[in-house]
Amino acid sequence: MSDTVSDTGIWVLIVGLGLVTYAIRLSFLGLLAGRTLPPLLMEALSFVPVTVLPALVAPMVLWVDGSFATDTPRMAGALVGLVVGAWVRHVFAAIAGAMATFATLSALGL
Amino acid sequence: MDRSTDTPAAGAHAGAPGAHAPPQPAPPHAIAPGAPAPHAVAPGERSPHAVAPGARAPHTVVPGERPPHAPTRRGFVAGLVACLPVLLAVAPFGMIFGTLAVEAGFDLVQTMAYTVIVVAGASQLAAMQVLTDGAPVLLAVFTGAIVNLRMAMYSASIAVALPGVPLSWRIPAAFFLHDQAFALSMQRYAARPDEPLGDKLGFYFGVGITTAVVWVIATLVGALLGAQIPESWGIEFAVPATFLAAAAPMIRGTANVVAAGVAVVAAILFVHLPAGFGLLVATALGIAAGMATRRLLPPAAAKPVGPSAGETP
Repeated sequence: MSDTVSDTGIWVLIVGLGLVTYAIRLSFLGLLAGRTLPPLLMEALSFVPVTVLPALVAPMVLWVDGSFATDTPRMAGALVGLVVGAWVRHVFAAIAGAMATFATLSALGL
Repeated sequence: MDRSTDTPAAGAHAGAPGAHAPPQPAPPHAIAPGAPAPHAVAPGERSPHAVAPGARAPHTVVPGERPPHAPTRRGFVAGLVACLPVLLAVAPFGMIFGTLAVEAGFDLVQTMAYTVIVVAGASQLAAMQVLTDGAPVLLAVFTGAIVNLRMAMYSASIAVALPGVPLSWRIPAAFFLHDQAFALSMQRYAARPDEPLGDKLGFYFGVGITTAVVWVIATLVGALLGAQIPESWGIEFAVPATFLAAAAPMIRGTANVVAAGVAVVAAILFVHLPAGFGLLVATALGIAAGMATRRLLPPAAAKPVGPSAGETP
């Protein structure tokens, strides 16, 4: 999948995301010191992690080879990751559980 | 004791949406329930932390004397110790990232530059994914920026929590504003509101620098060893597993569950949009759904969530 990505593209990504991320971090610490965000914007921002991350994951789990599919190892792995993450609240345990589930079921040919 | 730990990438329960329920007069951004309000210092007013004996203004520095905001070694060590448990999550995540970056076609220099310059694992993975899916690079940058938008929230909270710190310290401090530094610092400040400013800033840098250094070293190890990780370990599932693990602890309460659910459904519905766009639409719809849900629910349903200890740099 990397064949389509040029060296230039990678460097633009590195520098671009670095600059943008630092600008976000500095925003209120630096330029707007002492001010706070409007409450509505704070509230919207607070929903970013719980929306963007699941939205990233959904196609990786439910979209296989160009169409919607229920792929058992992926679905089970995702479920384990979600459950362990939500209840145990330990990130590494959740990652390991999800990957182990996926790898095991894939190996079994399910 | 909340021992949730996140990777330097992704999640941020510190900024858990529950903490910003609109009915509350002062949104306690990541301040634990019951904690004293952050000390906002009006211009010209003396910060309670910067008060030195005598009548000097807080920022006046007498040559040879430590200014009150200068980070202390004591604070730094406290931060270093406090983030040790979190490193158990940061290190494996860094290794996973290093492995995946090399697999995605980044060479060693690019992988390390990426991780040193951005220091935000979830956004690094997300942007890399969008780029390798064939999207334009600017869309990849934009996607990573969306993932990092939560840090604007952190920036505002930390700025309020550390009044009287001059810009010359806030500029380097901003570089280390990742999930762990934010979450652990806000917990510390809530637990010890009267700690001297120098100790507070020292603590922040102790967490921030230690976590970032471990993140970078772990990435290097992953990038060097990655090729040797057997396929059977399910490394191809590492990306979704990581994002899920980071997001899961934060998806609490009806509004968050609705927001996440709508985002997932929309991400599937809009999967045919050009790479990256579906994600943006899905995120926007999920946020709108979460905010609408919160307004439709009785206020009692919105329970504030305190900051928790682990996130991603």
